[in-house]
Amino acid sequence: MKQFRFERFKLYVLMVLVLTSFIQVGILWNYQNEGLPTNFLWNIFDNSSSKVTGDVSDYVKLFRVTATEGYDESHFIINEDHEYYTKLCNEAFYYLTDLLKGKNILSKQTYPEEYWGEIVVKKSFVYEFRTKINITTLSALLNIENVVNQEFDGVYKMALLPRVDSNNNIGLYIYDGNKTYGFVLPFNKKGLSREKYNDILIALENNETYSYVVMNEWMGINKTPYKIKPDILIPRGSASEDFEDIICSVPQILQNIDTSTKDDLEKIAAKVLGNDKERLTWGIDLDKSIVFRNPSKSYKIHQDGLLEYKYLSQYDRADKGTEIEALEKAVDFIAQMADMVKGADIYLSGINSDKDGYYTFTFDYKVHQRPVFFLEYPVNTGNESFVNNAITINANKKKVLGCYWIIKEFSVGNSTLKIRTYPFDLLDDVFKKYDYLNFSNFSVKDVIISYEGKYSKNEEHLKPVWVIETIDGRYYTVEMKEKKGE
Amino acid sequence: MYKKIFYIFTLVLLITSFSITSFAEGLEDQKLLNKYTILADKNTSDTEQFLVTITRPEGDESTFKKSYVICGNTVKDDIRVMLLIYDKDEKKYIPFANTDGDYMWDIGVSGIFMKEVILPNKGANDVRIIAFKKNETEKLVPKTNLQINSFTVSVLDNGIKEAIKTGFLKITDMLNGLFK
Repeated sequence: MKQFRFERFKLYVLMVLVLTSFIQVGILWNYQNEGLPTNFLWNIFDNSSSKVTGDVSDYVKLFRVTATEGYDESHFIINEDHEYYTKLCNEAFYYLTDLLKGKNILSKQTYPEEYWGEIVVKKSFVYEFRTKINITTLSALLNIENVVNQEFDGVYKMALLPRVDSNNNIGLYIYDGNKTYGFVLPFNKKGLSREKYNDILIALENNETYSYVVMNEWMGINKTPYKIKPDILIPRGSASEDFEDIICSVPQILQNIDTSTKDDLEKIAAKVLGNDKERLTWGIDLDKSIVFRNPSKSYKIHQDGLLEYKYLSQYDRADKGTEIEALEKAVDFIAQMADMVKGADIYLSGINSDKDGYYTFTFDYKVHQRPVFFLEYPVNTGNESFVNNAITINANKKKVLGCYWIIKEFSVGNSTLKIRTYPFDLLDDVFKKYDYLNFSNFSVKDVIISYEGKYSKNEEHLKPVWVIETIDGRYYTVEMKEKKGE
Repeated sequence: MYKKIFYIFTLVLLITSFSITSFAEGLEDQKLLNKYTILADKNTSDTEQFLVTITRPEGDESTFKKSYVICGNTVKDDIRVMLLIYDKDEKKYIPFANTDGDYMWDIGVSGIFMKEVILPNKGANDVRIIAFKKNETEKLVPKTNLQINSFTVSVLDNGIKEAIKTGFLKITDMLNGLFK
């Protein structure tokens, strides 16, 4: 009997040990991923019900849609408020979906990169992302379960050629940044007809909207002293364009904060941290930035609106996952605080999948359909001394590992700037401003008319600039001149 | 009073000196055309493009717009470009100014130039692009340090463009009808 009691006691002890070890594992698990261990049991029942989740399609957007009648003709940018913008985009994605599913492909051919330069000067509608989007990401966005296409692994730009042949077919050309892939598909019977595409082009020409030309139409493909990508658009002539007076400032919620009051800090904690709020401690750093942290996470909000997030624990390199999985995590992170950025759209501007164990995604702002660049924006707080994008996020399939986010809000002033969009001195101006440039270390991947945001704790009026992006990812800016006397 | 006169005098002096400089430049350019009559002569043969690669026009070209952009590039330093157009009345090439008002310019550090011109004639415009080393103007020799290239850029009537478009549409409509 005594023996039996002793055995029973041992069983209870064992059960308690098993139970506590289970809880301990849970605590550690929770500690690594969510926050303080005290919230472990609470988390089981709560299950992050108030967490904001983002929709990837809200951020993976076309950067630019253009159209042209053909060689030597003007190229027009079709803005998002154009009556056919949505229809044209739906058409492009309809044909892309068919292509990825392997449906209705009448012919296909692969061409070298230079051929893309020939495509964009044919009668065409061109759709550009700011970066190459992987097929797995695209198929997830287009709800395609089985991708049959094996030709290319991503889409950087694509073009629809409504007059690819004399039959009722349309040409779909894909450019992945290295090669051009051509496909002929039958016209979508429920979509835009060839005549409708013609009508859109005629309407664009008759509207006398601001027009562009492909640089290589003037300079020839592979004839320049340095590489110029085959589809660079520059303004067609010595014209000027009206630019809105864009005002950029630190969001009100961050500006008006009184760091000495708990209420204000709680308010900002709720905004920035969401559910994490309960599990992080906060304080004010020497540089007056607000810091929220626990042993595994750190959020730092600087006075200029820069948010710096770091995951402090070790992460498993095997958790890299697919591009879309990591992108979803990045988008969830952004969605939590996206409403702090007022007056701007956020779009995916870059993906780097070469990193070991995670992806780096960059996002940028567009204000009134014009891009805003933050180039060489000083961060000086971690491994980086500056960033070139509004948001830079490192993420894997499980979590966001780090983030720099220049949180700003934008408004439009009353005045209008008349800016000279004279492109002919542009390259000379770049070489003059950056005198270390020469023919061997310079190239042109893109020329973008943009606003430039700079480091500031105060309100600033953004200036329009030419942004020249090189093939190896460097950026050069040249200020656009205001046209006086009109 | 003396102060005022002094300021006005200085201002006049400054304006005059600037005018003299630009006038002198104009004279210098004109001197070049007078010195090297081959530049304006219709019968002068073209050279190879050994100093500057002209990328537009690439040869004789047609366009529907009077605004036309002339482009070229070089990897050589100190290259000056001169633009002329054939004048039927004078029976020789005469200076043809771009939209900046210049008919002669130096190729900048980027090695590329783009210059917009307004073509004066409907139909054929005979333009000549001349390139030379700007520090060797004392003795310019074709094929050695002087490049001469002549092109015809024709401005076509927009009616032709419409005719081509509608013609093509009619053909495609016809073909579509045949194969329906």
